[in-house]
Amino acid sequence: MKIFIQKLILFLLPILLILLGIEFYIRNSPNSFITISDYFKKNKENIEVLILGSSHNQCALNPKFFKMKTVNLSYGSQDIQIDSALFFHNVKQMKNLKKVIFELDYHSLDTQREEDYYRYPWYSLYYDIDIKPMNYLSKFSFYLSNPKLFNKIFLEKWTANYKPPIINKYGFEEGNFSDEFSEMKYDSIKIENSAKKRLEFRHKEILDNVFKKNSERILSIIKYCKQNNIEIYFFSTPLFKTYIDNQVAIKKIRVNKFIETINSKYNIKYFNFENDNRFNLKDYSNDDHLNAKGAEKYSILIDSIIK
Amino acid sequence: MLFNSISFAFFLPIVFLLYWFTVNKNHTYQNILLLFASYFFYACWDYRFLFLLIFSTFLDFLSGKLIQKSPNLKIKKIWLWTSILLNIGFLGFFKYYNFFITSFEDALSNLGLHIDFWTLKIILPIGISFYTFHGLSYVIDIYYNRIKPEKNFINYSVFVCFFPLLVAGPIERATHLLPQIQRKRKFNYADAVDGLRQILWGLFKKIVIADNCAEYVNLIFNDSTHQSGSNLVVGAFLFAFQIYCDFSGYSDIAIGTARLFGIDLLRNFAFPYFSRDIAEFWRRWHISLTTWFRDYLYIPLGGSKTGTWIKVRNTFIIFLISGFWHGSNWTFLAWGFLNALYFMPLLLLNKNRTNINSVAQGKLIPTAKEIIQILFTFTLTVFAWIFFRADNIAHALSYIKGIMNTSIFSKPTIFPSTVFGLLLFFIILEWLGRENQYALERFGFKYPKMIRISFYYLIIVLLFIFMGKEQEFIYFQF
Repeated sequence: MKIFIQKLILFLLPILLILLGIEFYIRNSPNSFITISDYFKKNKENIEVLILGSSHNQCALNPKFFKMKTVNLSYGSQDIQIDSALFFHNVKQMKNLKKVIFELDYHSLDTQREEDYYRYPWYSLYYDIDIKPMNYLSKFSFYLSNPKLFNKIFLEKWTANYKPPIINKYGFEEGNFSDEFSEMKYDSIKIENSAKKRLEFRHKEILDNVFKKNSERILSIIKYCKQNNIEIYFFSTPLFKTYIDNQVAIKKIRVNKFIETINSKYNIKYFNFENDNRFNLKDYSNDDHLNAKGAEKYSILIDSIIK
Repeated sequence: MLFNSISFAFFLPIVFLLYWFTVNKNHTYQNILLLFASYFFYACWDYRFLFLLIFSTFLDFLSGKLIQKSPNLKIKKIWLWTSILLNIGFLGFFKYYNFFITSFEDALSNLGLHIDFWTLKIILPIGISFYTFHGLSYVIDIYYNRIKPEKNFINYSVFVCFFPLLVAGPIERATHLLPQIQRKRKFNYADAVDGLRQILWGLFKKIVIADNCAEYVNLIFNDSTHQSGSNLVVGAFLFAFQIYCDFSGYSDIAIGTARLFGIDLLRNFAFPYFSRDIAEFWRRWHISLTTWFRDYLYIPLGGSKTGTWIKVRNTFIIFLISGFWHGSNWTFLAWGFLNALYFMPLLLLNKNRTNINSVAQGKLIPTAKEIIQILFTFTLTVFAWIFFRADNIAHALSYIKGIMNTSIFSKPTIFPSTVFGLLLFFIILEWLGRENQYALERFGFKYPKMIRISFYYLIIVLLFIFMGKEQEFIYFQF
């Protein structure tokens, strides 16, 4: 029996060491999620502007261009449920908070991540919020939350053309991220011709129940901000025309109606930059995300609005 | 708690160490530990159904005693049928109530009568199909004097609830498992190592093959109306491997885990896709269920020792019930019916026991005839799996219709080359190990230590590199 256990430990030890090594490597590699979280933890009490939202806001707003101390907590695939959890978990400790920038895009209200979304443990590890009930072991490892993703990232690092992402101190990715439009050499005909296929399933879902819950979450945030003298701004980020052309009309009508309702009731500040002609093809990395250059323009614009 | 979860990776070593280091002196304590571990394992899904499990266990334990104590055959029979009806009643209520109600409503509405019966929001208790069959085999064996009733409730509970087999089998027999539970288990190094090897192989099947196939199967089946014939063929082919690796992977992990505790479970799969005819396939697929139906239904109905008509009737009954056992959907009945049809020529020509041994025994390469037989049987099986996977009969028929057109000759747009590469690796290993209990068994004694260990590491590396999205085991829903 003892020999069995000894041999088993000897066999498993290299695997455990490799796993620990991978975990250490991932946690210490340039990573926007961890950088944002670290910046936020260090500056929480002094933050004046809080940005929430999905990858639309994550790619569009670079805190570097804000005059007030700003944190951009928005992240890829982050839904309103996570936004709401982040907001309410932290707002009381953000004693200097003056403004909240909230993404209210065409897709926002119909989006809710699946029950076993792999980034939930990340929020638990780095923001101490459990969006869904999770056992201790699920939060155990960054790597094990999505080995396939990290394997891919890990393997990509060994390819000849790999360039590490350039992430600034705020966690904003300023360079070397995947950029579909530049890969297509900003060929507008090619981009437009391939848009239908690319966007066939993107943000097409219409989910009444999710819409209702997300609306309630937004209302709770608005009420809290109003009661605590925090200004809340809603923005629709710039979108390239291919994305706008492929939107589902009924979804758009629903979102506009919601905006009208909250505007009439709470007198909110809402700005729509969806069709803004100040942004051209070269400001986008794909149909619905700005690139770093576009983000600079957009961030300066937003900063001038909220000042 | 899934076998392929991190929780189980902590749970198993803890139970293992407690079992062999703290309660190893006394088999009663070993059984108490196994019982509590099993209840904990089950409660991790839904603690509410734990009470149903305990109640069902107690009921069969009591029935066994009452059957044995009955003064005459008539009373014995009454207790037997009471137990059978209660067991089937639980299973029927949780698994089939809504199906029967909605089917009845549909039938009436076809006759022009529109009546709304009550349907209930019933959650299917996990493993109910498996532990019900454990209990049934126990009381039937007592009735036929094959075994004596167990006196100790803890021993009996471990027989029903032993955690490796609790939720998806193999479906055990009291004659096989109870004697092992009644005696003290001693640690056996070779068994434990072999158990770990079988667990590793099961994990590879589940995580690397089944879960990766599942992604493409779901993609194709969930959007089958927009797929070309060739894509649909790819979907059906991958599903055949998904279900095999999912279920046999689970069985391998269960059997391997049990061996770590000194307990030997029934074999459940014997390389079914190398079968040369459907009869052989059914001797190699979900063996514990097939033999259960053979012993407790087919033989009592008259088996094959009666006339041709009775044989045909019994075969259809077995296959239809086997299909229905899998779930309350007409698709499973259609799957069972199709397999019964496949079986008929062999049965009528008395050729259903032609291929008993492994294919190409002792040889590396099969004959051309064997290759054709294997491919033909596999094609029939894949065709039947379409019904098994489809959401409903209409979906299955439209899927088949989608295959049967000229687009079957087009180049598939969904062709995951990595998954096919992994499948090739898997099939080669299965072929090489087909004369053993499981494919990796031969590595335990045939190759030098360094090669063996390197190979195990290779499997573990593949597990991490090709880990698919974690999916529940398919048979949990049954």
